[in-house]
Amino acid sequence: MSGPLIVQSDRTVLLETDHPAAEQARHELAIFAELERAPEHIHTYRITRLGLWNARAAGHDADFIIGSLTQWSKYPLPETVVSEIRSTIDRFGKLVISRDEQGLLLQSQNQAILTEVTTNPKIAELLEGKSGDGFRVRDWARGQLKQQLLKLGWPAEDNAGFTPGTPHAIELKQNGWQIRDYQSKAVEKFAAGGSGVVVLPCGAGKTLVGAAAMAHFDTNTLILVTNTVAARQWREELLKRTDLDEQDVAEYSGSTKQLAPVTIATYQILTTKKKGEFSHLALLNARDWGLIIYDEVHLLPAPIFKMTADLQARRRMGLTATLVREDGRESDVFSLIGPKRFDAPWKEIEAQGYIAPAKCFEIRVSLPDEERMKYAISDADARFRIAATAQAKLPILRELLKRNPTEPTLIIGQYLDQIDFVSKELGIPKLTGETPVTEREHLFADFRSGKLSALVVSKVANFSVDLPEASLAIQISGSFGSRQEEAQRLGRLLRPKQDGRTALFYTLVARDTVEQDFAQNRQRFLAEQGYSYEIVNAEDF
Amino acid sequence: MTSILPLANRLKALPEEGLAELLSGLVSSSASCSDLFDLAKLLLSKRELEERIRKLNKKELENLAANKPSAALKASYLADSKVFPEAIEIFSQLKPIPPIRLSQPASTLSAYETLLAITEILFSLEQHWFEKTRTGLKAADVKLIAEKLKWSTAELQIRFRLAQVAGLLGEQDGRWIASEKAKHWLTLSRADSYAELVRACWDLPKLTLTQTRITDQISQEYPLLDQSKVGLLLFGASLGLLDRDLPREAFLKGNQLAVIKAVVAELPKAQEKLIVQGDLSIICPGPIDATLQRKLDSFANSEDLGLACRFRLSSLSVSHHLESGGEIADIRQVLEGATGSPLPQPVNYLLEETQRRFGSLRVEGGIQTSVRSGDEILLTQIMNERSLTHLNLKKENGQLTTSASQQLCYFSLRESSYAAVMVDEEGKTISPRFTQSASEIPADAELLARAQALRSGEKASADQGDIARQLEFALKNKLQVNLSLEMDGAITELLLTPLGLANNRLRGRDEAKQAERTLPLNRIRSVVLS
Repeated sequence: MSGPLIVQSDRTVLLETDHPAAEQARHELAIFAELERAPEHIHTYRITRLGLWNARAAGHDADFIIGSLTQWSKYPLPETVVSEIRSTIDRFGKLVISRDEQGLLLQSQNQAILTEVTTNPKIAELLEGKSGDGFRVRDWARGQLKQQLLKLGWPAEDNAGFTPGTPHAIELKQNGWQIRDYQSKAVEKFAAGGSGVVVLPCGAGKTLVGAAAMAHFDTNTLILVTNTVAARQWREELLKRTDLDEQDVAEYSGSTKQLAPVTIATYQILTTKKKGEFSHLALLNARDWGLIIYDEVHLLPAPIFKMTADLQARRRMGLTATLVREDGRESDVFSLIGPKRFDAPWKEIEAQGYIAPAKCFEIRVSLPDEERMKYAISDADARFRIAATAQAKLPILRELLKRNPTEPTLIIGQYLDQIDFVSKELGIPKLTGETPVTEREHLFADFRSGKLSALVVSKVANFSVDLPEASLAIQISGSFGSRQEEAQRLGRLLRPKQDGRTALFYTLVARDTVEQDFAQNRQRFLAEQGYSYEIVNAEDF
Repeated sequence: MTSILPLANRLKALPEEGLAELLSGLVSSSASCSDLFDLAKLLLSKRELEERIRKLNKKELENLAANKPSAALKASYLADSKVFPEAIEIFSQLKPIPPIRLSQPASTLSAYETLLAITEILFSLEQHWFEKTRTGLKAADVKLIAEKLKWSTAELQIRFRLAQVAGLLGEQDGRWIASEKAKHWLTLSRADSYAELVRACWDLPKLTLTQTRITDQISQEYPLLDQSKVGLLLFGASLGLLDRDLPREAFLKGNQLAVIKAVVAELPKAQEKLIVQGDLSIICPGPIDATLQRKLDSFANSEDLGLACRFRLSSLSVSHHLESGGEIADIRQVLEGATGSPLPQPVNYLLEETQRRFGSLRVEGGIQTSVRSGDEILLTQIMNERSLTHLNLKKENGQLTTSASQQLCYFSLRESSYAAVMVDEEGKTISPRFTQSASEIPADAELLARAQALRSGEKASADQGDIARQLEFALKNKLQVNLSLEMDGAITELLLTPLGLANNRLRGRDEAKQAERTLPLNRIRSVVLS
């Protein structure tokens, strides 16, 4: 045995990327294990129950999985892992959700299991009563039933199918560009699975994956996005890359409320309440959508989760760069949107030239005694803000801009007063949540055209904003230890540059403060994707 | 008529070593025995008789029931020319204890993982203040180590108990520390360290094992045995000998040496390759060699331990290496040697930064513990740290003072991410590693001494100087003592845990009354360490 895998008894699997058989092993591993970390040399996968059931749903049995691990493993498989794979796979499909003329049915050939689950109060309330050898499922309860069965460890095989939706022919217009291999694979995997999440780095063309999926299913599609600017970017991109015309693609947001075969709505409008009710909820059933796309699915607000539980008959596609939720609700994404269908390491896409290479720096700024003393006598809650907004960062910021006068630059901050201060001191326009949509669009357009060489932005620019020319980002403060924010901010720089140059990502951190500790946590996701930070003393800079 | 006299006569014939061996097998304390008559009385007590009877096999139990004084019954001090009536009486009252349920799975990796876990426990003890509790470790402390192994806290507790049984743990000032034996154990190869653990708990009664439930096999051959007291059952899965309640192939080899050899042959082949990454993580992409694990443990924190391992460098971990007598050059040598390539920039940065700052925050012992630094603002920050309020720090003459012990203060600062070091009055760094050397008691020697005392029929010397010395010894080693105390003309005996010795008075906890007492030394007639 001398394969590239090490299978551990805690069900993690390490893949040595330099091994000659690494590619083949990775291909098979991806079927049943989740990629957790992908730094340069050793990638870590985890064999989870969900991953195993997902593989089983795709037609792979325990023998295939154990055979594959055995074939590629460097050491004998721990017996506990083998027995757990067998017992986990064995639990899948004992219960089946199907559909007949009268509606949904929960059935099983094993009456003991059926009795066990149907006597559970949380499941019983989702059922209407006995019907033949099974139980009739309430129309709206398909998603919740699947969630509850999963919690009990008896995942149902969902054979009830998806509604095809009202047909609407959509074709990609591949004139002067071509859909990339990994984008095609992502659509292929998604189509085979029916529902689920596609994880690709920022700048790797997730919108095109969405467009290709729409073209695959030729159906009415609802696209849910984070904000109005993103909605307009989606619309422009769809009009440019597909044969859809203006009246086929509508925006449903705070400012415009239109419906069309392809409708782009914001999460905000869906979660807006009037008189205690979600007044725009009807949009979800306003048309017979055959596909719902959730952009930046890692940001999906809680009410949308709940609504999504009722949409199990519709195909659902989640798109994200980082399936890391700081609220730990990754499993809700799994059970309600679907499992991860496709994932590609960032560095692999970078190696293919589809995202720009980037260099990351952490600059440690010493606080002057006055600021240090203020920090020292403050309580723990105030300390982070004092460190994050330290004025000692300003000279370094000036120096960075001076050294990179021609690079289109984003200065990204968390606190509005700090953004105001920096914007005024440096004479650079700012863009925050308070900036009206039209002004935002102007600022972004000026930045894209090169009229503006720098922008000071708040967290509104963390995601869904397409600024292909940005090549330098300076992070002056952030949301504590948020890994996904760090990744999203770097993501603003990853659109490949026309001259192939490397993007630069600087983070200014107050030395010996909690900000330094949080910075380490923030960098974890990117470090696990193979990005290395160079640490620099501001004094040496 | 009782059997005390004939049994005492038999004990008289025993050599001192035989007597010491007998004492080591007692479940009750022999501290109150002043001579062999007392010891015979103790051996015929219900508790001691039950202990010995329960260990008898089926055939011997039949002999006992039939009043047949077999050689085995005699060897167990249950009979001489006839079976002791006290034994027959206790036997008639005993009922079988149901077999225990063994649910811990095991694989070829179990022994290896146990060795990793115990090494991790021992290194954690020098970096954290793990309070000694009645059950062993506090839940939060167990969790800290268990997470690294992706184990449940229960799984980790078993390994902790195994380390205890193997004599690898000691206690100091209410916290767990590694023992001198552990220091030696850490230098052993995987094979030898495994063998040590097996030897420490090899207590299975004589049995030819088959591949059926071990608990049933024992119940059949030893119907009265209390299986919950059999170390090899409790630790069998951790040592790779039992998979739940079934003996694994290696365990069927029978004798201890062959079993050890079979399991050692299963230990995965170690490798010494390392990968050091820019995020300060160090990956060992295969089973880690024992020596390499120890080296890494001295300057990096383990994050994941298993067939492959992940460690991470931090300013605290590097500073720990320096305070334990290591140098930055050692770290470079280990990492560059095992990776064969230059270190990533963030690693170099960390090493240089830690070296530069090392020793700038010092914790000094004395009547009061003081925290010193040339950086006044840092001291102000520490004083305002909410996580350090238990130290009740006060600022005096440009330093912080506390009534907490030097060690507690040091560990608390480190838990709050301040890379403090302990220093002595000359300003020299004190290593937090293995500080128990003087306090261990050689158990064999102590038993032999007690055997000698029993044979001579004397208690410890009544000389006042000796009494004070023994009490100091007991105090230092947190040993309980049996005191003979003269009060109002009468001699009273009491079991006491010494707490302090000053002004010719002994302060201690009376274990019977669960109360603190202060006794004048001149009233103490004899002291027996317990």
